[in-house]
Amino acid sequence: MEKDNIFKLNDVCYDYIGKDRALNNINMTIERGECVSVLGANGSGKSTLLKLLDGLYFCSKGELFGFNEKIDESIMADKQTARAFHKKVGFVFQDPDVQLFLPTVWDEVAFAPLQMGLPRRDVAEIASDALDQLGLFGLKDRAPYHLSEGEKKKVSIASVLTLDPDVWLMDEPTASLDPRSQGWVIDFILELGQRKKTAVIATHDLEIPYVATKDCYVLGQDHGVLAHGPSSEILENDEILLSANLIHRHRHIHRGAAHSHPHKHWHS
Amino acid sequence: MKKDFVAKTLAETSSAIQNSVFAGGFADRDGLMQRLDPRIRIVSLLALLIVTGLARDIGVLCALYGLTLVMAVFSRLPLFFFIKRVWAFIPIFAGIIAIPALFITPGHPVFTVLSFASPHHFGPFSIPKEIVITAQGAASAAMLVMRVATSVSFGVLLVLTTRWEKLLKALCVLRMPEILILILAMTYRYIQLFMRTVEGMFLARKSRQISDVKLTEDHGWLASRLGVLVGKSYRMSNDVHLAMISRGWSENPRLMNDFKIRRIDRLWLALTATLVFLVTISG
Repeated sequence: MEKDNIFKLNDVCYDYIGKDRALNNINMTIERGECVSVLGANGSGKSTLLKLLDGLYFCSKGELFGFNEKIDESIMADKQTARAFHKKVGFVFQDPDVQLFLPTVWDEVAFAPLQMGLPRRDVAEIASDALDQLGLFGLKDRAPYHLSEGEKKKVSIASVLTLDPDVWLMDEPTASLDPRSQGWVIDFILELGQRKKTAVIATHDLEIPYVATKDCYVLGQDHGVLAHGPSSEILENDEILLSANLIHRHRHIHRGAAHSHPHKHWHS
Repeated sequence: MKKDFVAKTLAETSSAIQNSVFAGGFADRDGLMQRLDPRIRIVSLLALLIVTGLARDIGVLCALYGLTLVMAVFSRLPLFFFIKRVWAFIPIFAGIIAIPALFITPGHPVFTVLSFASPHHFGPFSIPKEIVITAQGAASAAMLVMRVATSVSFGVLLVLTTRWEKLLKALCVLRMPEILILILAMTYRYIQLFMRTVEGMFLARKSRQISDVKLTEDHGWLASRLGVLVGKSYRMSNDVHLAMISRGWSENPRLMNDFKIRRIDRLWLALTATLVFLVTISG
């Protein structure tokens, strides 16, 4: 295996108990420092894939390597190994209400370094720095309940930032956000790239691969990899995007006559 | 107009949400209790609660109740709101027990409520010739009511002036395990979230309801929504657990605690200790 591979997936399948297949023969390689988009429509298996990459779910078939080590249930059952792995791999969940389970913003950002066993004084410093970096210090004592969706997303990111992971997994980071917050998240992903962090972004927002990630994987309706390549090429390929249900045919009236063409909700 | 159950539930849900926000506002005010370290707040109010339970003199109980009012004022709580909140519970908790005590406690009669020509017997039950309130009965009822009112006042004072999360963390001082504190904190967090969901469900129902609906249909709808909510909370609990694991969760959680004992805390503790001593020796 290549030394610089962060993740390597060989024919990975994942089946939910009593349900259909969620991931179907996925082959994927994520190299160190790479920012990759995983594109796919709702239900294509993007979130499941990220959970596999974070060692939260385990393959039903195939093999998944993380940092050149095979990731399976027996490896992750060891608490020290699991903690070391999660120190290196941060996951920003799609729904901030899932990620923000503690009573205040301060508790949230302090949670991860505290669980990693750092002394409370160091944790306070790390948490303050993370909040400062994202301009959230003023929200320190607020309950997640009283935050806007954009603020919740920023706090979710801050709660992972305190670990300063090498790898960022982000699930639909721009979903349900207003345009300003979407812009902020995209800037943050760009910054991750500049800091040579590895990032895997699961999304159906085509602006992310267009602006922030060099490569992308497209998951098809059959839950397998439909296409993989440079983002610029994938985004130009309407056939792939239509097949993956990422764009749709849009009917217009032009000079009194109706016609339709593939329609993308992003602007180059 | 009589409200249907959708409107009633909506009103109650909204009011519960508003109350939680409103109560949070009191805890953020710059008052006496709010300035104290939450651990000191818990310890001192617990001591005062015990003293209230042990006091045997109505005068002492009245003085302690007066103290709660003074503390409420210095903690910048609206006095009427505070009194109302306390006394709303008294008929439920104390009244039911105190009212029979007025009549059944033997002693010197002070007021005749009912008078019959002769006593009445109904099987094992009997009604005496005169139903009277005795001086001893009135005194024990007053003691009970004042004791409950003062105890509830200390409790309400603590809850209104302390944010829920700080209150929970401060329970560490009573040796409560951190895992239990975390579970309670998360429960409160998600109750708030699901209250919003419930409010949304009822609003969606209300927006589509044109005519009156039969009670049985209402019940059916309610049962189905309960099912949806249970399913939703189950799915969410799985994801929350994954989010916890992803950030290094272990079975022995550690929580952040930045409490500091300052001069005002020491002073308050000394004052409380003196008060407890004085009340104890005065009986």
